[in-house]
Amino acid sequence: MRVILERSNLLKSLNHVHRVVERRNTIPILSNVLLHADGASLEMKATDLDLEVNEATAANVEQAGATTVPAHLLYDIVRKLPDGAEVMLKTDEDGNAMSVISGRSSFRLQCLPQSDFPELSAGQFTHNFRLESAAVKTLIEKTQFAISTEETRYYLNGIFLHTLEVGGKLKLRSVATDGHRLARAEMDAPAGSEGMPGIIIPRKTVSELQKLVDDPDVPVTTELSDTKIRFTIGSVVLTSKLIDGTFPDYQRVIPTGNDKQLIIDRESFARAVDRVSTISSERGRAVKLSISDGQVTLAVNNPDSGSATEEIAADYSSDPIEIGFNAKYLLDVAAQLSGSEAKFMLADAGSPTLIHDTADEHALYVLMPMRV
Amino acid sequence: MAETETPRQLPLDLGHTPGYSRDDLVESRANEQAVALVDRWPDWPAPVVVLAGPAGSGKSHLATIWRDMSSALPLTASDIEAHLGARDTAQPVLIDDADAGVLDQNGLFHLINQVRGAGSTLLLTARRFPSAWGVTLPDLASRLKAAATIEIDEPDDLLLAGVITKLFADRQIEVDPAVVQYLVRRIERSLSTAIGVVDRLDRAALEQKTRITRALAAEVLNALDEGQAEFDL
Repeated sequence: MRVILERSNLLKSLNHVHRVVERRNTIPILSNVLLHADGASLEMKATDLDLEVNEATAANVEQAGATTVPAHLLYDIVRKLPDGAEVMLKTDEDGNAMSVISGRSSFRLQCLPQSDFPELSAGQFTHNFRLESAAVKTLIEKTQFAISTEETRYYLNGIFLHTLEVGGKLKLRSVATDGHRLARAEMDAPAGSEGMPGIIIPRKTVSELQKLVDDPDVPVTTELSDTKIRFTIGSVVLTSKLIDGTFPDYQRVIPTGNDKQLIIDRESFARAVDRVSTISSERGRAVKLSISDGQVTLAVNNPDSGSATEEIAADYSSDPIEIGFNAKYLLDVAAQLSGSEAKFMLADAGSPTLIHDTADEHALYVLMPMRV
Repeated sequence: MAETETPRQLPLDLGHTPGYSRDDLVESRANEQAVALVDRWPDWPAPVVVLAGPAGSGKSHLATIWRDMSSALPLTASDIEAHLGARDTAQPVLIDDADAGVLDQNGLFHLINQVRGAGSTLLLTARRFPSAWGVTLPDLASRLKAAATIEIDEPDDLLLAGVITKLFADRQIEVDPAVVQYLVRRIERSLSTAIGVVDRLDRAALEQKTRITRALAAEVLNALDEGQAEFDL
């Protein structure tokens, strides 16, 4: 293989691809990126066996061929080369090493044969639809923070994507929960998504996808089956396994009868939560909200260090209520809201609280209180 | 709750779907007769069979398996008579939890006659034997006496361990067999206790966002022993 290409093109593609590669691997080939030069392009591919990303970029192929080299190493080299440089990638006669040559720099990297590189066979896809990048971004960003990181409940380690009919219209919904809070975003279902299975997209796939949808002008083509999903964003193709589990019937935890409405300025609320929680201990980051007519008092009590309170004005006219929340969860939700005000719908100190985004009726958050 | 207590995060009640298929059924010596009975249908010792066993011993599970294989009509013990006129007398009938509430004695009497007349089958499940149901209608009492009664015993270790594993599997949680053994050795030997313990352990793990370990199991069992109602909401 002998190929010459722009450093910027190579860097851009490697940047998309190399992130999939785990820093520590017990299987050596999984540390490598597959390079395949043919026609007028260089294709790069990386996998962790659950997720695969590949991208092709324009290149001057002098001799077609393929090999694999350590992904992070190659990325770091290309990253440090000067902007505007041209890079030549050239394998040895015996194929055991590849040279990276640019200007006066020259590197030799050990190769592993491309035939050892694992293929993530995608199988047949049953559904296929297109979404705008912005739509994908919304579905991810509104819910990603609530994905569980606790591995026992593997079925919560991702975003649940499914369609359902709301008021006679088919909606595409993303939902994530860690058992303490839940986030839900929805939009009109795109053509082609009708009848798709409810799927759980793993956390790592979600975060890779999120980084790939930064360009708002590029549509995202989604193909999926019961077990796999593939996103095509411009020249990048991301294929991933799905989580083999059943997402809980989340609708049962979204309360419908909460009648105590609290409307509060989002930013001053978040700042106040952040301030009073300074005093809280690492273990129990609880903030007690005492909500009464037109006012919320936030209080944190840490037996080891002291206490803090802050009062903020709010729009509230129901019976007074005292309720505790994890400060971090309140801040996480506040950070998601796009409106200047947050709307809380409360029931009591032991039941789930609903939080609405006043500027986005398609997003919804459920937060379980803390006993304080 | 005392003022100094550490604040506790409450978990969302995400629920789970219990598996009621034949594959989910845990078999052991304690329930082998009952399992054999269900598997043997329609070759039954009598047209009317009563399955008696303690709470959580798998009666409803067995009844569900049987209902699926026999396409039986499920009826409630307190409301039988009203359904007798319209039904196809050849269709088998299932009455789950026959001794749970007020028994429609007249209805049951007529139902048994119908079932016998049509050569069909009736399965009743109950916690106690029919003689303890407080039947006052002499004709019904004698009909029930003629029914075949199969008992599910209190669980042995094998069944208890199997059920605990199944209960976690219902919640899509894989648990280390050592934790299951730890529970089997320490909890009261009843399936209803097993259900309660698994439920609390599941909630505690979700609350603390941790794995289900022996340490967590010990914590939950201690809390239970101290009669702490903390884990109930």
